[in-house]
Amino acid sequence: MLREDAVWEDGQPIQAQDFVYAIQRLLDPRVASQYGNYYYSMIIGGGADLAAAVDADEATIEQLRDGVKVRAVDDRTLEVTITQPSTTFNLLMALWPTAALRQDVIEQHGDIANSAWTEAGNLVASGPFRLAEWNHGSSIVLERNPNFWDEEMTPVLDRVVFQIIEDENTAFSAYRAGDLDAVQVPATDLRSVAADDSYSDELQRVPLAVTTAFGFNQTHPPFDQMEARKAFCQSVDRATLVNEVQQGSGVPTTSWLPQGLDPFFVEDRGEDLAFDPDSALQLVVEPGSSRAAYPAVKFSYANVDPNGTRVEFIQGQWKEHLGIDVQPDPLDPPAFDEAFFTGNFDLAFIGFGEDYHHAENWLLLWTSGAMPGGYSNPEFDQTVEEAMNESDPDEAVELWQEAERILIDEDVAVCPLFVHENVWLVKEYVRDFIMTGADGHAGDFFYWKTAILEH
Amino acid sequence: MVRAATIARPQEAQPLAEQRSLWGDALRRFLRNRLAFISLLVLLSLAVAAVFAGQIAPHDPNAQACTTGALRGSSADHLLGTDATCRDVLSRLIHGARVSLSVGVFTAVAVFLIAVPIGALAALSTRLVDNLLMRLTDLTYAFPDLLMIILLSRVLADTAVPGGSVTIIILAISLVGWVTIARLVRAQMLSQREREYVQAAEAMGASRWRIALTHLLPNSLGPVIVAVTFVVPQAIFAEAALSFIGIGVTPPQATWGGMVEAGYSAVYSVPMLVVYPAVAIAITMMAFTFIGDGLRDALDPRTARRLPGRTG
Amino acid sequence: MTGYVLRRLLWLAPVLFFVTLITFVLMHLVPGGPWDTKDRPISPQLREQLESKYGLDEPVWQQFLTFSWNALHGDLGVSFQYQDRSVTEIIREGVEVSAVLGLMALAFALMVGVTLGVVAAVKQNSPIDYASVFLSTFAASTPSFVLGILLIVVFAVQLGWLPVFGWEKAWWLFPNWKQAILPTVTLGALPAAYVARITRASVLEVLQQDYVRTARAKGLHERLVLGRHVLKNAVIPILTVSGPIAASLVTGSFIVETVFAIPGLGKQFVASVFQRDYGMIMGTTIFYAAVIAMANLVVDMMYVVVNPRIRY
Repeated sequence: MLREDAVWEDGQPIQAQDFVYAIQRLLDPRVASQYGNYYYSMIIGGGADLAAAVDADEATIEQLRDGVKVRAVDDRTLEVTITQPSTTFNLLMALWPTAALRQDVIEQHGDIANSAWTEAGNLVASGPFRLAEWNHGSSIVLERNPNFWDEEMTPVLDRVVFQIIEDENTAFSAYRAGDLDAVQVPATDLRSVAADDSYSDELQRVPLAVTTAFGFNQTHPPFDQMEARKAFCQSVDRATLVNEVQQGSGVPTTSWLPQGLDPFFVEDRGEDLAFDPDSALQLVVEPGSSRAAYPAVKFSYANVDPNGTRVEFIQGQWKEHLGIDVQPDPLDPPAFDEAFFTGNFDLAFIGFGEDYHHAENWLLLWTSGAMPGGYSNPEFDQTVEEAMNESDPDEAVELWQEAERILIDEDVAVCPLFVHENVWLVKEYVRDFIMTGADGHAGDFFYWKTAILEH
Repeated sequence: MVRAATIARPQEAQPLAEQRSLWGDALRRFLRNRLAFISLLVLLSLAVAAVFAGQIAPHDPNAQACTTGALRGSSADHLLGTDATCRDVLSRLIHGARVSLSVGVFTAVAVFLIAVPIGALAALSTRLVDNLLMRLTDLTYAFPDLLMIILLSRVLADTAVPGGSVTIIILAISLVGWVTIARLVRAQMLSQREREYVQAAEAMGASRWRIALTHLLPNSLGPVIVAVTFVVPQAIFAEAALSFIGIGVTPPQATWGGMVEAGYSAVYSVPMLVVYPAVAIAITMMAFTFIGDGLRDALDPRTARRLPGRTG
Repeated sequence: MTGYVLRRLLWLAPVLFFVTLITFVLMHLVPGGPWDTKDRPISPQLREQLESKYGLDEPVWQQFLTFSWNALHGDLGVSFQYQDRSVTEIIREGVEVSAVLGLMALAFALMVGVTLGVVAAVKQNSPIDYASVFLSTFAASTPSFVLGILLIVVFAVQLGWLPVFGWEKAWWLFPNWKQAILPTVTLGALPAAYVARITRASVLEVLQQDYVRTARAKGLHERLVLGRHVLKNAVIPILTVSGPIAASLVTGSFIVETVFAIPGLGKQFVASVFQRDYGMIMGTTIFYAAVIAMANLVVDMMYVVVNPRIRY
């Protein structure tokens, strides 16, 4: 059911038909949507067939689109039929890929897969702000949407300008010079900024639902043995990683699910994986063997800041506590993705940022065959399956927790390291700059209340 | 003809004698040049430090002393402080000399060995060969260096190249960097070729190759040597730039370029971290520059004649 | 001379062809493809979709022919990363920025470099000579990102005279002059130093020439000696290097564009290499190759103007 007063920024009412179009387009093979394929094609009735019709001709595609079980019962009612019962589908529908779209606007600028409609001046959206300018590679300017339908959330600000600056130092310099009102604090400067009194009123921190970890290739030695995985995990001093290398940004963790993912998060998850170099050493050095016999392993990672520093630290930890020389393997992001997703690695530095706030999002990743590295435990799969189908919410929570227990405590399928934190400096004259814990997606910041005071 | 040869011979003997003393003279003049001499000493001590890094450095360059902490300033135990993963900066600086100097010097050598023959050949050969070679330089120069460097490092990464990523970087930088020197060599030789003394030598019946080797080449080399000494810091920078982009020497190996890049990230909290390796690079650079100048002055006999007894 | 120019222009075609071919091959050999930049695993199905959409499922040689054919008709394809925006359009936007920045840096480098070099050479071994050598060495020994942040900290943050970043067109293609200063100086510093040294070496060499001595002996005023004889002949090595310098400055400097957040082509190209955006890589490479080849041609033509004794 849609709100009565919901309108697009040009004044036209938002209709159920707009959602139908959006979902059909999401699954359309010509659009080749990554999220569409990943999250939605299986759950929405008829979606899988449409998404699979890669080389089909237009007529077939049109037919399959009509076969997708989404329809507008009337202008204000949307009906979606899903393939199996799901407790999380409403969360999925709340994400941005299923946001309503204006068919007339998109078709005005090209075929169904065109992107010209996203340019400033063409785009028609329905939020508190509208896209005024998009200077590629340079800046994005938002202006208040005069037709925004929610009185309460109408923004105070007239404009918000996002400056696209890749270099952290430059952005920080700009903040200090007064050219920017808010900036993300570079990881390497956090301690000096936090210690500096003049910044104390400007520093804002929020934990993110993003966990960083390292994964194992469990299809061949040495990490096909749980003991090896546990040893490598126990020998990393997470507290030092966070406090020294990351200058205090983030929270060490041994749990795959982040804190804040209530009610699924368990406080002492993975406590056996906490830093314990002696225990780790024992696991690695069997009586009669030597560490030198340990096979050479590479630690692959995507070569973007700040991964390098963290990887170097971790590698140093293994050298120090286990006496094992792991070779850091920096790869360009596409090369890393290719290597990772084809299982061509020994150890991989990975992370996951939540898309929707549910254990399902985090744990489905580990079902057999889903995550590269070859982790496969039928017991885990079954527990996840049961949890997804369980209708009693409390039972479901217990099942999800059991699943994570198998994943972490029993199998050490992955070694969680820390949970991220968003650290920003915001000028004192900016009031109500609200940050959320969502991972860099649409919900990252809420600007509608933000106001600028006299300065 | 026979008569001409008889007359020419006693005069031929002289150039040979001059030639021996030309290089000998050059060496003496070079050594008398104070700046060049000091620079040579500086470089030699850097080289010694690089070779004996293991003995000289107070700590293991990759040891993470996190009890002291990361990005700390100087202390008794860590004279220049610690870097982002708690490693001793001074030790890394000393060990870094090894890689950075190798990259600089070997790249310059490689560039010289590639560019001079090509440039000389282009200047001396037929128009067709010249054209082909110059198009080759155009081709190489037009080439996207970054793509070449990424490819080389990826392709060679799986094979065990002696020296690892350092060798790969040297190869990659020299393969894209020889062009300017080659063009310079060619231009110099072309211009020298029109000089009177060359025409005189030709008239005396000296062969083209003798002219090339004994007259054209040495007299062309002045600006070429200056340019090649610039290749050393260019190579060290290229290494720093590659580290900035993220495709430098594989960690955790300490290199000055990598340290400059890491220090750059922390420039607001620990500015000295970028200064130390930058100063190291600057000193090395200046040293090579003055040596290059000294060489140029030493090789050009007329400079010495113009300033009798004065050098440097 | 016209014949020469025409012949050079004809040579452009095979050069561009080989650059395209080699780039194409290299690009496909490097691990990782354009679809590997997504954070989620890409299903075989989705990969198939994308590949068929962009024609990447055809055999490589066929893709190359398709691309070449299109390129000859002026169609450089679309960018994979930027949602089908035309490569030509993206390049044009980037060039408008990078070319202006590059030309300004070149002007800076030439003006400052030649001046310093001539002054240093004429007043050889004086304090001015030493000072300029030191200054140019310092500029040449600081990696551009270090110089950049230094200038930002001093002039933008501490003094507040200039903005930290940005590039907005103010008059035709030229930016707001305040935004232009720091990036131009940062980008032009290294070439300026290089030009200064080459100039100095070259002028010194020319000053030793006999005809200069003759001119002086004739009683010619020093200024005339400099202007009429020395500069004209000293200019050759400067010309040699200014060609490649111009080309590399105009085709964008990734580092300066990153540090000053300037939306230029250099930054774009590096990003597209890392994202394996085949469309952008090919288009930009061809564009670069053409620019560089033209720059070299112009430089060669200038040789003839300056030194009529050089024959082609």
